[in-house]
Amino acid sequence: MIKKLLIANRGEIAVRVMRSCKEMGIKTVAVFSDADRKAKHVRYADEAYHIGASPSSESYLRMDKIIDVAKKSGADAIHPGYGFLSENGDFAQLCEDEGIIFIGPSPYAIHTMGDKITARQTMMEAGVPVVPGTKEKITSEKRALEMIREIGFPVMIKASAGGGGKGMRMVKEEKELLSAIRGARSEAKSSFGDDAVYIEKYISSPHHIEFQILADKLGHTIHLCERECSVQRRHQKVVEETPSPLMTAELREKMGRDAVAAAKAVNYYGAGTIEFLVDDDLNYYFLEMNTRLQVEHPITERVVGVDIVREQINIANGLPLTYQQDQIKQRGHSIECRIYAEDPDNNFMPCPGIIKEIVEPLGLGVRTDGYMYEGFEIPIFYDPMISKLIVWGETRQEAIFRMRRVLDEYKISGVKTSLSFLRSIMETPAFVDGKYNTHFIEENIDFLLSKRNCDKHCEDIAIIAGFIEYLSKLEKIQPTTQFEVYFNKWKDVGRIKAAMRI
Amino acid sequence: MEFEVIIGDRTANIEFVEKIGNYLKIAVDEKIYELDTVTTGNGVYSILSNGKSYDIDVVQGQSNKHFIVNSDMSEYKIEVVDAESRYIKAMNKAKGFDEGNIIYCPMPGKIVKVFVNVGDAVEPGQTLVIVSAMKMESEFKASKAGIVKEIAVKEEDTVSGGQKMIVME
Repeated sequence: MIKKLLIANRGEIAVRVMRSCKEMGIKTVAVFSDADRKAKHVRYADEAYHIGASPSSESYLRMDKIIDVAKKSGADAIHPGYGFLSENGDFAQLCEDEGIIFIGPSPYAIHTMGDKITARQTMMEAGVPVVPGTKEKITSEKRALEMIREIGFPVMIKASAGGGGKGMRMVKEEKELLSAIRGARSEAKSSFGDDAVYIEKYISSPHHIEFQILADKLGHTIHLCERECSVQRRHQKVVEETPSPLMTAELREKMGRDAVAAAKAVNYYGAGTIEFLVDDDLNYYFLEMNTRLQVEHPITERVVGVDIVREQINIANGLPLTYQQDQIKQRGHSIECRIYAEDPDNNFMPCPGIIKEIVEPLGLGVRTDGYMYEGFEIPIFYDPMISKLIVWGETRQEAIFRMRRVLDEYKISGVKTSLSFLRSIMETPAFVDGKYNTHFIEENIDFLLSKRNCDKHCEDIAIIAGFIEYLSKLEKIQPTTQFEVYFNKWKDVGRIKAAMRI
Repeated sequence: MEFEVIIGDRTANIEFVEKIGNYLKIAVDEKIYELDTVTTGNGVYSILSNGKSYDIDVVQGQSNKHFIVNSDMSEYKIEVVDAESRYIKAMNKAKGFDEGNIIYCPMPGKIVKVFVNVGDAVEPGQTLVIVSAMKMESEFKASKAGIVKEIAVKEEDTVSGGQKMIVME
């Protein structure tokens, strides 16, 4: 049984994993870079070790250093969180070779699902629907063209090793095809070192819906229902909710069954997510599998009442799943907003900096997963996501109203955040009506960036507040110079007192 | 004493009338406000205006006269014009110096690339510098045509928020 766990990550997810460890009586080991000495995960852990310079490539991505710390501290297991080494099959293998439990699936499952073409082939063989397109990588442009004539334009060209929108091209007409294939190939080569690309039909207004699955090492696999993740910007999720407003009971059962089949096809164990594209006619297609804990896992935890990290640790211990499929019931509705340190009014420019004041929202049905505290400097080296806000309500409407309330209540000063942008999403009719797809942000961008009405009166109040702050700063500067003498005297008094004690 | 505050396109006159404890009487463009103001320190203010409660947070901007004011999800950039800044503005005007010619880095980050050299003529919209922060790269472009007069940063430099990067002429 795991007694001491190393968390090979930082930020909110490191803290999140440690929380479950503490409840399970497992000791926690943090690792940190130069920039993170003061980070919350270091302060929260039982032990913490420095692993290198601030850039991730010199710290959080250094497998050798992380393994060294695991051995030095006597940790039996490593939890990779998300990002960094979480979907690195070689790291999972290295842990296995070094006799350390990797909290995640087998290296085989990571490699198979990490390569898009292999994943597509495996899914087709398992009878899980995939987006119509090529089964193998494109070797001949002539063959590609014949294939496209069958499925019809527009199509997407995607890199097999891809992710994050890199090595991806949309092609509307035949004449764009050759240059798009070449462009995608060279981008894939430079980004991932692998120029294999394949072709998929372009699904015009898709919903991004994913299924959370859990599988133990004894062959038992269940799903924890869906998450709707269509609110995205630049292929990054912004808001997630469960249940999906699009979902029906029949579709859930069908997709859930396919999600379980997809996981079984690679002998999966651990927690994982099957991502699907769903069109308006409720046809769905396997997109990819994320072989790790997802950022948005808390909404599922809230609605089905399962601690996914605890299940991950139990699975790694070789224990059977705590739940049977028929015990998994969704209750109420949950929404998550990802809070980024960025400026929505300035093309979403990232805004690291020092947190001056932070007031996290509280009250019924609220959870915040974050890692900030007053005085903490958000480093410039890592992801701009600084916090997640998760609410629960008996109904979807109640959850939306609650999310509006908690976004208003959340105060973060010192850095710019996407809080006001998220607040606008909660007001957008398409979101409120639950009728949106992955084009939501681009279609509603004017509404989302429009300012909330503020009359001259509140503008005047803002002027006054700014002016008072200006004056108080002036007052502060003058006294310090005037009263310096006194401060120095206090120091002298202190010294005399200390001397007298001796 | 009277000051000006610039907020967007508006320049407002502001004048202290009276202050007794938390009670503050202040005029903004001739409109008199009677307010109950307290601060929790750190730039956070609670202002009551005829019973209406405002929770406001003020952060310093690029100088000790520039502030970013956050009030109920609305954000304002304001600049206080006092005797000193009036004097500096007048001097700069006399010297033909325009504050709009300086390109500041609004956030902390790392300089990835500088595309221009001192003496280069640049077109509006031309990219001058790329700054990387939090795995994202941001381009800073010239807002108008001009000549590069000074480059205050170099590649690989770590910059802080509000730091001067390029001066144009």
